[in-house]
Amino acid sequence: MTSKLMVSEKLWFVCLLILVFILTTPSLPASLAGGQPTTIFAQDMSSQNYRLDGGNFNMTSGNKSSTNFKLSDVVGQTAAGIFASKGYIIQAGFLNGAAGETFSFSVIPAIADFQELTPNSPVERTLRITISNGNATGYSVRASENEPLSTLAGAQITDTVCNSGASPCTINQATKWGQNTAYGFGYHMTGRTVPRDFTKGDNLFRPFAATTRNESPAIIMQSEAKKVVDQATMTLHLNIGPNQAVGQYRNVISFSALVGV
Amino acid sequence: MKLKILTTLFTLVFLADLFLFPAKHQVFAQGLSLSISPPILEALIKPGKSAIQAYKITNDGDPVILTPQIGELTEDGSISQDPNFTVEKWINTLNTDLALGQPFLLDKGETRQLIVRINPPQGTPEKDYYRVIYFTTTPNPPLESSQSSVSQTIGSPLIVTVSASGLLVKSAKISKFQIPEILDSFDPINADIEITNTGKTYFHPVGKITLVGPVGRGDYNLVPNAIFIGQTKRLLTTDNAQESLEPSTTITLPGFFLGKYILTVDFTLDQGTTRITQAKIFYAFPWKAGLVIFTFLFSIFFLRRGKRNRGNKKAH
Repeated sequence: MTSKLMVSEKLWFVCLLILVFILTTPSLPASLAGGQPTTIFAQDMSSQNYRLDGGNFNMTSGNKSSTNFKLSDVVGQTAAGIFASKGYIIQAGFLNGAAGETFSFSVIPAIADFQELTPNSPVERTLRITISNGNATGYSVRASENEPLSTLAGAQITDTVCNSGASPCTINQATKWGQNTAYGFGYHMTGRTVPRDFTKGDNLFRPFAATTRNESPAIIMQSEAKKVVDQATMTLHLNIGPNQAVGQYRNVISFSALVGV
Repeated sequence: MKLKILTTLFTLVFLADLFLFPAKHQVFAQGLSLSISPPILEALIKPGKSAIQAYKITNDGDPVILTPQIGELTEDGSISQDPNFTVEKWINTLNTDLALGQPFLLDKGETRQLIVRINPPQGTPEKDYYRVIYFTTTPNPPLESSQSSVSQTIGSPLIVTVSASGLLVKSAKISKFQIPEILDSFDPINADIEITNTGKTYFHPVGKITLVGPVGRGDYNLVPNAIFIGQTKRLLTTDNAQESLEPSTTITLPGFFLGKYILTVDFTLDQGTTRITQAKIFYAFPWKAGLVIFTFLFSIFFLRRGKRNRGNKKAH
């Protein structure tokens, strides 16, 4: 009885090991998965007493200079970046740190649903924007709308001028918008890398740049740093007046992200 | 008994791994999430030669319809909105499954490759071509309510220099070097430095700004942003880039300063031998505090003098 219990415990332990291996290993090698073996460029050095396996073995690297010359090199890299004999040079490999990186950009959610609109009852919705730029130097995110919120019949909700008065807001300059009788559609940004005009208060808004007005998209996030993961929140604010035509108002907000150049 | 302990321990580790450490590729539900690699490409190519680069686009969010395009990269690092722009025929794609301007479905977690070929023919003007490979999502179908749909564009700048010799002239000048000559000891040092590309091709400034004072020195590395042909751009330091939302100066150094200082900007155009150097001298002393103290003493002096004069008059 005792030996049967020990065997079943051992069996369970082995099964658990296999399950953990399957769930925590990112992917199986192609050969184990039954796929075709792929060519891997690597260096393999061995002697009687040791064996070295590696993707690269650098013999030397760094910045060197003399009176007339300056050289930056990484010697021993298996995928060298310069193919002068073929008539082209592409920056690839260690010296071009951005070559192997990934630039990621997300906007959540994909729709800001304002549902039913009531005059003098402002509605707010938020969008979360996330950027990850790896080893690339910096990034910028821009936003614009295709047109002001419009119905199929052509009725429009004008883009906000905020509280108007002496200093209306513009597509590149946020100002205060807090009056319930100040109508329109606009946005506010919060985050570490948003433009300065948003950072002095929570009730600072801008209208969107509109493609129909030939306006260039406005920067909403920008950084010159490397290896950052930055987040920002866009708060959409919509307020309609009692004379606004009934209907379903729609538009498209476009976000565009590039690494820094 | 020993086995029971081991098993329990392992189970706990397994559960902790499952719930505490998320997977490398985060998946965003109910949203748009794209990744592109490489994030930027710079190529120097001879007319008549060909180079190929595979771009990977990955969808980490909900299934999307994507449209690949090649557009013009503006000086400020954005995609040009010019509807009349047409990309050169010698920058094209080799895919049989994807085509520029043609939408395709990219499922959640899926990765596709866009193979771009750069193949300038003989006689192509030898200069820089600033382009961008980008993918744009199609917005979701509208709901039965008022809404703003979201469209997302992610791009990778493509900077191509066509040259038979590879020896396009690189040159630059410092068009602005602004720093006060007299600085209050308690004010931060704000220096604004701009450079203009006067050459025939773009470059990255590689170098640093050095501050030398009565006690010690500081070195601040420059951010190697690309400066396009004819462009004037503010130099930035890596410290300023990390700390500031929108750097309005090249360098801002808070602290207490006293005496004579020399601020030097020194960089090469890429890793080449063309070197640009300029230095400026400024002096720091606590003139604001000095002014307050002087005004105070001056007032005391005049008050006392006035009092003495009144006393003398009374005596007479």
